[in-house]
Amino acid sequence: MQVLGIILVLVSVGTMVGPIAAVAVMYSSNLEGLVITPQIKDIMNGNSALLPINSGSNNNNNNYNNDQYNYTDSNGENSNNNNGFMSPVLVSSQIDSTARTVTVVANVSNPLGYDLTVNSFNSTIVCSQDNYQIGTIRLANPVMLPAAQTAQVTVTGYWTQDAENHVLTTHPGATSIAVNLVDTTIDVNGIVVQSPAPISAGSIPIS
Amino acid sequence: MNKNVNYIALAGGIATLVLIIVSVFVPWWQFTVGNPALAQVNVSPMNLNFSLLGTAITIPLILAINIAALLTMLSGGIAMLIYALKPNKPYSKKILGFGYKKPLIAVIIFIVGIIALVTLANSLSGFNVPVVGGSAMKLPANMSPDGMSISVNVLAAFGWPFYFAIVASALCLAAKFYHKKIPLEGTVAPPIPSTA
Repeated sequence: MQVLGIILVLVSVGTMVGPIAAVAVMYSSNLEGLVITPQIKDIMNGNSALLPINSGSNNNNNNYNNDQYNYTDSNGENSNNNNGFMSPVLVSSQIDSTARTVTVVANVSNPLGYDLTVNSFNSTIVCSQDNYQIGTIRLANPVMLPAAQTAQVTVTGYWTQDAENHVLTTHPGATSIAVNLVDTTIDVNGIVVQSPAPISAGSIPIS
Repeated sequence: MNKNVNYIALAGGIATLVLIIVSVFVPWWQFTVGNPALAQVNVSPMNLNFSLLGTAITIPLILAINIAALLTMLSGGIAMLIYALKPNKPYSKKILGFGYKKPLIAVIIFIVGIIALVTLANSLSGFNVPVVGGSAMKLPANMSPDGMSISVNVLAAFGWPFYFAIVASALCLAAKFYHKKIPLEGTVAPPIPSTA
């Protein structure tokens, strides 16, 4: 009976202490490695492959070419050589004056080795000169951005009759008006970023 | 019913062994950041792991603690099975005493650990990390650039193995109480007084 008691105590201690002692011995020359793995160290140092910090610039000036209400990027092709983190590059836009809508197609690159989903995007378009509300813009449908690839994102904008009247009366003779996006909300994989500050969105042509 | 087998302990022992296998693959508690998930924390005494952008991060010390918990539970489960098949031997009570506590201790340590983890995360980060359910964790204003508001959708939930662990613990505890009803081998039940 006493032997059994000793065996049970040894089993209790052995099962608890054994694995921890073994790993401590394995990492005896690098005790920090017991808790801080190379992956965590890379993230802490900012050079992790999981979270690349890429400062690629977006050279697109976001200006629309109003020829036949269609836009193609200045290279005449829809390829995207922009490596900026989630920076959209305008591909094309279509304006429907009757329905007062604009459909914008942009390339968005995902530099991560992990699929991302843009669940929603919406914003208010205002005139950059007088902050008059021109319309709204929103993502048509959620878009998946495959890992390390570029995907096309389609956003649809709407403007009002009041906005048209405002442009005709306040900016007579103008061929284009500069616009800002305010109250912008974007949801990527459940991370929701809201920006009340104006974001320059280039110029919209007026026919 | 065979009085030489403690069926409750047998069920408790089997449940403990099944729980060990299940817990390696299915977490007792899961915390998910983002929708679809960007990061995930899967917690069970036998397997605690983190994943960030689909990449699992294994911390050696935590892995060792998980293995220790797994071996402890395994020894408890085996002890319960041995006891269940020989409940009336002189050494049975000792083996039962060794085995029945293991799942119960695992459940208690797990609950205390989760509450401590969430409390610590709340106090250190300033976020509102839920124990159960979904919420939008808002980044403190000083951490958000240019007056932006950044929030992250998170979801926390207990998995079915946690509830199964409670059942296994209850069975092992019940076996301990049932043991008192099992006569020790070699002892004779008192004779019924004759009325004649």
